[in-house]
Amino acid sequence: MLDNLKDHINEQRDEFEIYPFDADLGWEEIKKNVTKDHGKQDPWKIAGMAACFAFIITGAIFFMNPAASKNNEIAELERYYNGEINQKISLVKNQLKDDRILEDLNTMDQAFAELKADLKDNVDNQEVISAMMENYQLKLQILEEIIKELEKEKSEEVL
Amino acid sequence: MMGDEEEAKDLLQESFIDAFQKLPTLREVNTFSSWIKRIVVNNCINAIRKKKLDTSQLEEGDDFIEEEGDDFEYAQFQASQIMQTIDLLPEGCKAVLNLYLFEGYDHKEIGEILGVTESASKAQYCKAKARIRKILEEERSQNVG
Repeated sequence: MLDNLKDHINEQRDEFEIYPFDADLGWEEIKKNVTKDHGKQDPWKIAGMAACFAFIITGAIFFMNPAASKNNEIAELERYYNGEINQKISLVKNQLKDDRILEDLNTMDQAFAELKADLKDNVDNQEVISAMMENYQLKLQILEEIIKELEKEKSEEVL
Repeated sequence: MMGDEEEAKDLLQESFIDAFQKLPTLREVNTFSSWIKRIVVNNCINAIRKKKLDTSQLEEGDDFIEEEGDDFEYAQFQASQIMQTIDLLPEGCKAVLNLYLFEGYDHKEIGEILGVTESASKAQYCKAKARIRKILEEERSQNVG
């Protein structure tokens, strides 16, 4: 059956996003509430899970694009990011006192392995490659934040 | 879906907080987007119910039958005009329309979410569309005249 309204909205979906979300105000409130409800350690858990989630997304996007690994330039970037990320993950693991984050890392790694086994589609375009690189950068950024906080916590303990 | 921008923002914030709190219960990471969408939609439905949405009214007109073809040219109207028209719909009717058009649920799923039958959801969607067409046609004829 014809449904011109649904077709029109699907075709012009972006135009119908007329209510922009105030990201700054929103996240500040969310952070306040999550911190209040979860105590001191939980933001760490969230940061750990966010890092793992970024890792999974990155892995998933990369796996969806096996053609990318054939491209020398992308393969080189991938090696660089993986090297940096692995080094930082080792640093985080060495300094972490909270086993829950390591447990979350393991859970996420298992989920990633399952996801990898499930994915069969082959998507090859510039948009995917950009998203892949953005996710590497995001993951690095999150890990750097965690390391910074760990170092801060360590120096406070010394004082 | 809420018809009020501030209320929608508050609900979105609450939903993100809920999602963070329920994160350990997420078993399959690849279902994350549908999981979080469901949290947001459930919070919207609860808020609508608190405003005493009588879902039984959705069952009325269950036998409503839409005409075979919908050849109305929505492209001649601005998106904001159509959104304003949607805001004029009754709450229950609007919930069905938003879930179907913007959230991608089918009528069976909408029936489960709102606790009504699949055919009631379809009927409400057809009614909503007929009302939108009528309002837009009236606006167009006023502008022409």
